Amino acid sequence: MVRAKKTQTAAYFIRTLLALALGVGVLLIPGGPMVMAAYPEKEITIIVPWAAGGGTDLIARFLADLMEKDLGKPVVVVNKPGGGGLVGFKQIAAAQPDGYTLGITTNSQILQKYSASSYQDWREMAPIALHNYDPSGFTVKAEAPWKNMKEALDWAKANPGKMRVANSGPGAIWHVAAALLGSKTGAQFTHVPYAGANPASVAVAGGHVEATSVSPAEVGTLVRGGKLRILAIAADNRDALFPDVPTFKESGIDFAFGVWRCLVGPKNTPKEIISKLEISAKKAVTDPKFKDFMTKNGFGQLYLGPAESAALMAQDEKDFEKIVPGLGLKKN
Amino acid sequence: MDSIAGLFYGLGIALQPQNLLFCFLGCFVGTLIGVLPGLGPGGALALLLPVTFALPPSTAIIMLSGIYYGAMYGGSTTSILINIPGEAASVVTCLDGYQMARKGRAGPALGMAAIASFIAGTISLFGLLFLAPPFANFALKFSSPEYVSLIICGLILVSFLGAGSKLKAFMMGTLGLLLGTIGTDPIEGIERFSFGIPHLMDGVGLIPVIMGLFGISEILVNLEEEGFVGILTEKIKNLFPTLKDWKDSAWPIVRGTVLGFFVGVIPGGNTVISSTMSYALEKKISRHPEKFGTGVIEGVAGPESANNSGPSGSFIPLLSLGIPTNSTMALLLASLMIHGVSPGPFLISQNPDVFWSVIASMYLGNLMLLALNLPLLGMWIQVIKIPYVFFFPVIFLFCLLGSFSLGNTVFDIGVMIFFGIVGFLMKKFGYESAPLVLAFILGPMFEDHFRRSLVLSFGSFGIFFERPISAAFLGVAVLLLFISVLPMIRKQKQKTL
Repeated sequence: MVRAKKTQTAAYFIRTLLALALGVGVLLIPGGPMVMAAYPEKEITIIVPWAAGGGTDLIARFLADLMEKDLGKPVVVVNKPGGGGLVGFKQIAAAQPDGYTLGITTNSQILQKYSASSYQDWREMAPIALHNYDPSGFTVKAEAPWKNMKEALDWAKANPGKMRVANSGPGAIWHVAAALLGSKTGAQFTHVPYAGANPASVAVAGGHVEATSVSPAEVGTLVRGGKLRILAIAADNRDALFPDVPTFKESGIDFAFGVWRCLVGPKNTPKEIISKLEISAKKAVTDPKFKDFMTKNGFGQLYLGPAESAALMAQDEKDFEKIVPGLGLKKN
Repeated sequence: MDSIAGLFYGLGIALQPQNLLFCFLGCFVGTLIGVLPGLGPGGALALLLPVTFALPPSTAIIMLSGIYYGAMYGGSTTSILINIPGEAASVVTCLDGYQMARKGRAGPALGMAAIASFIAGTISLFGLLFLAPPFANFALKFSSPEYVSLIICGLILVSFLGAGSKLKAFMMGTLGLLLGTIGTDPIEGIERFSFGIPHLMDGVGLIPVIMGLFGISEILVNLEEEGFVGILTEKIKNLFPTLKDWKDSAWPIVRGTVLGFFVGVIPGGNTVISSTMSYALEKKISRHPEKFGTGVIEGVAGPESANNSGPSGSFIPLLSLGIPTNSTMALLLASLMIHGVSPGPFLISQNPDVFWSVIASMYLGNLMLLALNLPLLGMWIQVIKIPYVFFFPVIFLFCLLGSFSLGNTVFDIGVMIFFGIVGFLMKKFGYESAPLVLAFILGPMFEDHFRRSLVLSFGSFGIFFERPISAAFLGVAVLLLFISVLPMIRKQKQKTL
């Protein structure tokens, strides 16, 4: 009797397993070309590889809200922080290329190739829309003796290693920015890593270091408060928030470099879906509400489509390959 | 903006309905956490941090700090009524509070604990209000060498004040330091002890560690207990202390408030230290030290004011330097960062709304707590009577949800459970978790600033002695070491003679 009951339970168990396997199998069949016409049919997830509340997260959430209104299906932001973004990058690249799992990346993903023990190749992802760009700047204390970029660089060249430039962390994008500037101009800086852009700018204001390479947006409050002065910004055009600050190019230095954020999907996401998302993202980025939001929070604005984004990524990779291995971030 | 104008500006924000509601919520949860033995304010903050993600920064910090100082109020109730500290800082309140209750004076003990807490909480806020802005200007002079010397000074002071086995504390401190080295090194960016696991590249998360050490381990320890024995069942009367009680308590409250505030400012100084020190001080200067431990009201009033003025003191280094003085403050620091508020000399000018509204809310919070703890005392006594079996599954569930929601990763749950078991074993074998957590928080800060100092000085150690503030801290540190070693040397000499 007992045994009969056991076999019965076993049979039931196997049946349930089979049913489950079948169900999961059905779920796993990728959405073929025939469902594409109706894309999106269901909720879209955007993976943000950083914690909630940070800059990337804030922008992603605003973008997701606008795209949700346009696409008519929920667009949900999920934070997957860890490993300087690597945990999230890997999940984006490994997702089903069906347009329902997207993600946000920045040039720190490309940087990891040369600075971290493991990385996620950006070619495993399909760029959709680059929606933010913040250039590097060269910011000094308000009372500093240098009136412009040329004077500062002349001093740095005359006193090799004496110009201490604060950055937002070892191997972070602004560390690379200062190193790139040094290699382009022949000035020798001492790089001083801080735990973020804010402590780095406070160190300049306190007179503990000579300069910082963080973005003008990040030093904005202290510049307006009269504590700091921006000598130059590393962009092609002057910044709308600081129209008096010249670009490096105006000062005769060919240096344009910044941090960007880009909406991506996994590689092999169908072209039709990419272009549908691109149109929606472009609509969102050009929306006055988005522009207001970006200005209010001090984020730089730029829109690039899939091909232009990929070109920028390739360019960054080339720059990083030249400069990052020399920074000694990875011991192999 | 001067302090008074700032306070009124802050009141304007703190009195907005949403902020008022969350301030009350924080105080309520804080009292609850305080009343319930087991979960302390650190664990509770870690649990509720994810809840604040959707709130504006001021509202979030208002609520989270409410939990912290609220717990200080609630803890005394459990100490007095059942001789078990509701949270660690109320441990000395048991000594005389419970004896008073046994003599039928539970009412005045509870009343004085609440009133002393209120007076200390409110007066110490003036300290924060008037000292924080000038301190922020001073903080601009703080570069990495000053941080290094300050942390050294603080750590020596803590070992100087701490009780219990020095060897065990040292072992736990070392373990904390080792844990702190996991992840990407702060100056060169080289990964250490991450074993290729992406989750470890940013180091072990502070919040899962605290949830494990202070939350899960408490549940495990308490599972072994049968429940409370000896809860007082008689009716509590005369909450309002007598004139003699007032006379006996007035000076202990003043001394406790000042002492608690300054211990709060020191890195490593927590409310356990301040309340213990206050008790020792009162006993030492009392005209009847032999009566301590038999139910004297000074033994309740002093420590209770000390542990309530501590949090105000701790906010000064947190906001102006970004140095958390204890694990609870480290969690507040984490929540400030999550909400995009960077502590430092410019916090007051960059985020005036957050700074002033949090201080203003603490005045309101102290008023709410007085109301929560005196007229509603009966409710909390009922809470103490609820058997543990009903609480633990809920706390455990919250721990699981909380640690997962921080990063949407199962890895953090694993970290939390691991440290829950480690914490359980530590409690079983009499190791304190405070030195571990403190070293885990301050160790990486120390390394970061120490190595940055050497980058700034182009490799010269002179930077620590040439800068006046740094040199002064180091001088104090040497003096403290000398004072603590001196008695030992004398004893040695006497032995050899």
